[in-house]
Amino acid sequence: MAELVDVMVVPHDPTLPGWVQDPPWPFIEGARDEVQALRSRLAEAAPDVIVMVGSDHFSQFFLDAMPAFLVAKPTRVRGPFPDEAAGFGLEPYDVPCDRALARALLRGGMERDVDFAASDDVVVDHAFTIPLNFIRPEQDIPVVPVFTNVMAPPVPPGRRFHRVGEVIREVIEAYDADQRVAVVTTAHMSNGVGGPNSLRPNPEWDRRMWELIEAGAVQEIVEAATFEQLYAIGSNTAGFLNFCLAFGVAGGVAPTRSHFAANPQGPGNAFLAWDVAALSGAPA
Amino acid sequence: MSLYQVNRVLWEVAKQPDVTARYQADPASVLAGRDLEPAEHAALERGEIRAIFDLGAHPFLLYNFALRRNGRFTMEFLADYAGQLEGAKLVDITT
Repeated sequence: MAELVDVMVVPHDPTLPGWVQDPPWPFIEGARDEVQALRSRLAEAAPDVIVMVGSDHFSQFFLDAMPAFLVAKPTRVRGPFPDEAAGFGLEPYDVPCDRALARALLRGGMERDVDFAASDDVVVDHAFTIPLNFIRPEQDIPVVPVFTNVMAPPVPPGRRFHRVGEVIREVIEAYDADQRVAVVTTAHMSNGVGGPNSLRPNPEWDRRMWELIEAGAVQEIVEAATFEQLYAIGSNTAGFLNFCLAFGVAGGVAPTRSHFAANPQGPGNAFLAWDVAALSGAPA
Repeated sequence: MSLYQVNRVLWEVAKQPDVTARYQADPASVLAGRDLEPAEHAALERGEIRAIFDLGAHPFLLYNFALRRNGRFTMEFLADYAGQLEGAKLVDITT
């Protein structure tokens, strides 16, 4: 059977790859150090495949047909889009997709009441390429992209994201292959980009939520995570929903590593990781 | 309200280089034939960020629209964008 060997949350702020090269502010130094630490962790976990859960920023999915949850099985996992690369100076990512695991997630999801949409033809945007370039710049591990809609209401509530995370783990652990699997997702804290608070995070909300995240207070996190509540905190804050999914994958236990690089002038960047011992129920 | 079409214009200008170029040269040509209310047409033709926002356009689509017109991200761009929305209230963006 396949084995879950790492679970992480890694940020996708498109300004971060440039800033970590030469940190203009101290909080970026913290983010840079965390990127290095998670890169080393992933190398030690030695996964054969990475399931990367991110959210398309209207890069390809639009209001004409918006999947709530989608598993992709393109031949290659490639990105970002040319306008993102040009606008932010982003590096490309290009690895094979593990299509067998993608198919297993699609089938296993449907057997567990999660009707993932499916696509054989996607490009992954910066929500995927930035975390992947942070933790595996070698671009030598196949990826299965999983898309979640955190942008276009109606958006499923946090408990559904949590359940999708549980199902992803159940399918991996029931998957009949000798594979080591890492699950990586990416999530927002308060984020007002696009609205009047584009430059104003909500430090009080961030502090309260980060305490819940570090404590593994899953029920409270899920209850706080509906699109309407999150949108009111900042127009782009619904990216927080992917934390619910991460906790579903991690089995509802507290992360064993956490770092929040708060930014006084914009959205902060969140890093989490769960040790294998914690994932298996052993004391961390 | 034809919010879907407003969002669609923002999306196409942001993501399709030929539409970006046409909009920059002649905004009305991109709007021709679309099912837009007069206020929506006027706001999009003038590219008024605050007016488009107040119509209920999706903030992230509006941001990408402004970013594409600017060419590339800078902190000055973001400060200017946020300044245009100063005092605006988030509205229901459900289409």
